[in-house]
Amino acid sequence: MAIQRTDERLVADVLGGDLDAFTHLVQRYRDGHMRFAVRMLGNRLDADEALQSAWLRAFRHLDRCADRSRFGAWVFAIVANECRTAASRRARRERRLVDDTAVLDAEAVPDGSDQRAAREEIERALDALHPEQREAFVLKHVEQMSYEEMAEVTGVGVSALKMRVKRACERLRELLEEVYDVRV
Amino acid sequence: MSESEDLDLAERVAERLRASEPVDPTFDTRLMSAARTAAARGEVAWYAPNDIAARRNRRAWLTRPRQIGVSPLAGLAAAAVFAAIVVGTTLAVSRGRATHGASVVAASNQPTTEVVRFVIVAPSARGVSLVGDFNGWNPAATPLARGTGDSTWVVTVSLAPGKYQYAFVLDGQAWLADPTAPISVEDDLGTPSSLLTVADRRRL
Repeated sequence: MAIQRTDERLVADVLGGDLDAFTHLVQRYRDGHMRFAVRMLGNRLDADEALQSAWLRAFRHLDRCADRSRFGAWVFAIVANECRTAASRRARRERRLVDDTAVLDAEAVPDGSDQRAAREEIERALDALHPEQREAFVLKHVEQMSYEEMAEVTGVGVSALKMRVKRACERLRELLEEVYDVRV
Repeated sequence: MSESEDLDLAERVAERLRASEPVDPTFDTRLMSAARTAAARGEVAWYAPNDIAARRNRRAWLTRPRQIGVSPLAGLAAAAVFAAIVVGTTLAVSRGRATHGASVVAASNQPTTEVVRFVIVAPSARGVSLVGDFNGWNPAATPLARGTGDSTWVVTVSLAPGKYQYAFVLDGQAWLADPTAPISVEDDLGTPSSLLTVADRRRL
């Protein structure tokens, strides 16, 4: 049975010239990253592009990973930053304001009758949040990180993150209440 | 609405968002292809196949048991060369000003490089090293020596013209950007770093 190499070992192997070892790191983390990126960017195409870019940056700068045993947190920070950049780039490109109106104009979904449509509404509401609030909400409630882990990934202080999550929750309630009568 | 109700809503919303998202089957192949291309083009600072092979060979050579015989004359010659290197290095350091940061202190003997002196004031540090994309961000590669007085640490490095990112490592743990230099924008890489541009004098 093959012994699974630690992140620390894999990073050392890559830096020692074994580029195939990088594939193992990618496979270890990419699924979780994809979920995060799709929640942040709203679609798989943009998420895929952002993840390719983030992982390539991680590869180029692998020697900057100071604490190799914390590789997972290090690469997640790069992914989060790339998603943030992609979201702002997309917003500038599209000049499309996904605001309250878009959510409120959406057709109301009957309670429990269509799970898929309900999830789409939730995603639309998530998309209507300010990007900072969306990121904080996804990290806290979807990725279920502690505030300390979130601070490590985002570089933002714990108290500011708590405020962002609180605001995100309030805003989600406002948005979803009017569409659903809060029957999420 | 109360905070607990908002949290309850958040949990119900998040539950639906925790479903996994499929990753494109070609994801790994595309990424590794791009990574290998970047490495082959020399765009990855830490990746130099010849250096890696040389390091391996050097390690193998260093760890191989051997017997060494030195004649008295050869020993004297080796000591003279070592002394010359030490004196040369001391002169290079003393030419520069004792300031904080990185400064070009002399043109190197090699026409395409400059001797850059890095100085940092760290009175309570027990050891300081320089890391950057010129030494593979290896804290063991370029230690600084105590300068005049107890508070400054100094090292000189020969660098080819180009742009570099660097930082200081205090006591092998704390990474510190150079307070006198522009900060690198790539601050999501976890450790702060500074930017240094070494100009090509031939083009000035």
